[in-house]
Amino acid sequence: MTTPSKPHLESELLQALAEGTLPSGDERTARAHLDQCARCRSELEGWSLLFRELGSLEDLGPSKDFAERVMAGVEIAEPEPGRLSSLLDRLKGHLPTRVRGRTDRHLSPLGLQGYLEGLLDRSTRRGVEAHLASCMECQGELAQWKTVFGGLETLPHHAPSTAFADQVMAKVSPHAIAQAMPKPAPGLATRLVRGARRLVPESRKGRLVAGGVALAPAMGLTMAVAGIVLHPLVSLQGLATLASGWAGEAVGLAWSWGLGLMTDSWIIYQAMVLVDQISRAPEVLALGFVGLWAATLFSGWILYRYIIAPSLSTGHHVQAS
Amino acid sequence: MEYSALEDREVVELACSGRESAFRELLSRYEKPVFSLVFRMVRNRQLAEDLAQEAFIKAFNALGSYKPEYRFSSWLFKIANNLTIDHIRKKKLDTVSIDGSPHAREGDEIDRTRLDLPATGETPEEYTENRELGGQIEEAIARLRPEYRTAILLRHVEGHSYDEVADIMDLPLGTVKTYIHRGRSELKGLLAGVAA
Ligand SMILES: [Zn+2]
Ligand SMILES: [Zn+2]
Repeated sequence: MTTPSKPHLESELLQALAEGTLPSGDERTARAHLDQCARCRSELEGWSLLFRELGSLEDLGPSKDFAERVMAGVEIAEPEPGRLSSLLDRLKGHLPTRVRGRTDRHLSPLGLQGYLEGLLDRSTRRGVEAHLASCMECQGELAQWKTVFGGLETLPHHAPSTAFADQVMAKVSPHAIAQAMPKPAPGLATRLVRGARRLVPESRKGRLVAGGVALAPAMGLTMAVAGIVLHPLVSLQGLATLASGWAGEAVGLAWSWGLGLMTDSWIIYQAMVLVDQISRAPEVLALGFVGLWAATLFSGWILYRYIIAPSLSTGHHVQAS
Repeated sequence: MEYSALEDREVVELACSGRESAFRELLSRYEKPVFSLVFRMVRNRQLAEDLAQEAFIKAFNALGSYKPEYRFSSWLFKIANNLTIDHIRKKKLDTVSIDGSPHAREGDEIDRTRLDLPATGETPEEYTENRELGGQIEEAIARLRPEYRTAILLRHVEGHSYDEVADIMDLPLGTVKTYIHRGRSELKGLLAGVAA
């Protein structure tokens, strides 16, 4: 489909496409247009036909009406008024520079620029060199392109004023820039510590409640032990003896289990010796009970201070006696 | 600190850690290229200094967003080019020709969206002031449309590849090739006209 407001592909570009010298990026763009535009397609066909004809002619210089003859065989789709004749005019205007006395074509501007930039593949480059060796006209063109490239390569850098760097640095704070750098992603250890820290309550009160809840098992255990100890039939002495008997049995079991390991590990041997000694000392057991009691009192206080007391003061009124 | 052996990427890393000398090294490496590009675009020394300065300040403050897989120079030129194009658009510099769409995908579209204004971006006073940018080739370059000029300067003065130029100018590769080929064709015509 032809969109009237959209300019069509330039004839130079279509020629390059017909020659196969258009860079692939440009070719894609051109093909996209061609897919949609019958007029450019038929012009391209005309150029392709012309180039094929030129290539097949031997020692035959083109006559003046050559282009007309070639183009007459091409049906132009959707011709616009004046379009065909202007196309033929352009074709004629183009022929003298494109067609030599011999039948091969001259190098395209894109080809010459690509050659000077070193962007051509080896076989294309050899083709260009072969043509240049025998074509004065293209040598002249190449010389002109060399002037352009040479001029561009020698363009100097201009320096800003000497105060330039200082002026920039006066408006830049390296320290602040370093501070604002995005931090690198944390390692596994850092992430674990951060995750654990997130579990710890933020407020002091929260931490204490959590501590109290953690101590609750100790409290329960201690109360059970206290119940046994305070029983009239149970004496501390007897309990200690009983406990030391249990511990002794446990140590005996552990001893036989650990015997194999013991020869390998000095630490395990020492630990077993320690457990053995503790189980034979009632004083150590008693000390353990005292510790449990202290922990229980502490737990109770925390639960009272942070859970029971607040609910009392805000909720029901309870007689304090 | 000996910087000469370090690559841009490494100097940038040191700058990121807050070392002032690393910032100064980047300045000494690129103040001339960046200033030259901007100077040839606006052809006014004071304005070019201001724009180049702004480009460096902007780049340094955004150093955290620089990705080391790109060439530092490409990234810096992109910032400088955007600032310059913005400035040219805003000021319209009266006589400069600007493409309507910076994202035009093909020659057709470029032509269609272009504002057809005379190609030189300077007032007559500025033109005579710019002896510094004298000489045949400089004057021919000054007559190119800004986008042709940028593309050609990046390709030929800074030695960037077509891909890098496309990246710096935020344009499709095909468009950049078209700009460069057309720009060079115009230069060839202008230089031939001078020689004749
Ligand atoms: Zn078309
Ligand atoms: Zn030739």
